[in-house]
Amino acid sequence: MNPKRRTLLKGLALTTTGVAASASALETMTSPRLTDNLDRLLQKHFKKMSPQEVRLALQRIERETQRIHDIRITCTTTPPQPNVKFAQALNLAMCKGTRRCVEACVRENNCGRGGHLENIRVLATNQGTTHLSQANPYYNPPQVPEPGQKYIPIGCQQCDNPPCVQACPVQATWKEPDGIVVIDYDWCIGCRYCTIACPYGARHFNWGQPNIPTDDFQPVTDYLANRPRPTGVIEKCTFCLQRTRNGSLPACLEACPTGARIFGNVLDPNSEIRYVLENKSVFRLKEEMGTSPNFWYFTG
Amino acid sequence: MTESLYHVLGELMGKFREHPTNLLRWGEFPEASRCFGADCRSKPSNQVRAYEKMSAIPSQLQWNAKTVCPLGKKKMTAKPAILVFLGIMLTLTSVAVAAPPPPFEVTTPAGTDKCISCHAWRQPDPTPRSLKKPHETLVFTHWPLPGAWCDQCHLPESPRQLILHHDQTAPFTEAHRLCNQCHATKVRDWLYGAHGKRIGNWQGPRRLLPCAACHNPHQPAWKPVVPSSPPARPGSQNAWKPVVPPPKTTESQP
Repeated sequence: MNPKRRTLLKGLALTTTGVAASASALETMTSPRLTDNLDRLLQKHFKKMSPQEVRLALQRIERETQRIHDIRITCTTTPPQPNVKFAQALNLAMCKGTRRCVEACVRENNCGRGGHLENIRVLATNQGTTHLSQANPYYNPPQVPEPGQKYIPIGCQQCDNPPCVQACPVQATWKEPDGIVVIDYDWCIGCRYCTIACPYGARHFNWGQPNIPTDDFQPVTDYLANRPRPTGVIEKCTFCLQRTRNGSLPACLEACPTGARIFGNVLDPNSEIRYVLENKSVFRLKEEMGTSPNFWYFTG
Repeated sequence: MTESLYHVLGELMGKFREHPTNLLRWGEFPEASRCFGADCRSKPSNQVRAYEKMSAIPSQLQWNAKTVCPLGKKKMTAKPAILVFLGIMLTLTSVAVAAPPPPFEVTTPAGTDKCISCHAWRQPDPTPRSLKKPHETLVFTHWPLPGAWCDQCHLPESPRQLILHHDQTAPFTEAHRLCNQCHATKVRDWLYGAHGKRIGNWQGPRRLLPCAACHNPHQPAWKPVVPSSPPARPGSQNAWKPVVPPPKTTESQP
């Protein structure tokens, strides 16, 4: 091949590539996917966003969900109510290990199905022991409760001194004034330090695109809670913030067939949770770690 | 008066919260401490009357703190002015502080009154025997006493009326009053939220499920059920097989 021909070929190739590239670039530059990805990349931390930026982010999430999951959702963000601090109590004597709370939680919070992304984990222990390390979360007998077994559901304990918040290098997770530890899924870098820091195993990592059936999708979502999460971020229980900040009860409470869970505002002296805290012997898991959880267990 | 003083001091310390039932806890639960004999005709005391009045209130959907709190009606026996002052303070605080349960509504089981169609004209047969249709499925494990039969709790001519002590009756919608006669502490927990299932809101009106929604009155023990699918072990995938069917999907609002 002589140099002339080589130059000619080179020029031709470059021109065709250039033309094709510029056309595709133009196409991709205007494609909603790229602009949405760029928007997400350039988005600020949730606490630093102006109301206008928040509105744009919510619209972007609705667009992305329509594109990825083919579902129309409404994404909002509800601020915490003043003079409210949430807490939950669980009656261990009444828990029968049916895992209905897990099912309702997965549905309500749009968790990926079939993975390990359940926010609540129900541990089965032998009656009379408190060794959580020997407990079995994978129990699957034909019927529950099994004789001699006790069940301890564990989710996020919404600690007052949360180690996950301290561990996060980019402050993508923080504690809200109403006591809920939330995550900005768009700010999370997926380093998983918080999963290691959490002594309760309450945080889960989204390894892949969450598998959510289209006919079983919760369309009412919140930015900090149950909106469909992107790949490679952490997710956790938020006490169903999208429901509780609007006055409803969390999904696990409504699904529990025995009414073992009690939820309320601890600052309200007439609330159910205050009655439990004042009249029952309550305890918290791993009290000695100094995390000061807002999730109480009791019996009787 | 010592109780009143204790109340006032506790209130000042901010560590004591008055429940209408706290008074009864100092004494006893009158209904529970009643004689269980079927032919008992002893006159109920004032405290019993107050308690029965109180336990009837939840069906009215409103909990009136004034009528509930028996503390305000307490008679003072001491004379000194300081105690009178304390008494006035106590009355004021008790009305203000008496903590009613959060507003709630007891959901009643749906269903038509089919009992009347037979029991209005049939002669009640009080002898224990094996039951025939439509009651053949009933098994009595709740009240394992010899001689226990339907008329222990149901009014023979109208089975949807329950028999309480002192010749009182309660409709099915107030069945917790019957349960209250033995399980008074559980019913108190149920009223205040430590027992039983609540649905709806934590803020604003709640809906309480009645006792019979979870406990079969004839066989109260919990029946085992199929558990939902376990979580996937790390590195594996589970098929999502929910036990509860998905809720009816409604068209989301645009």
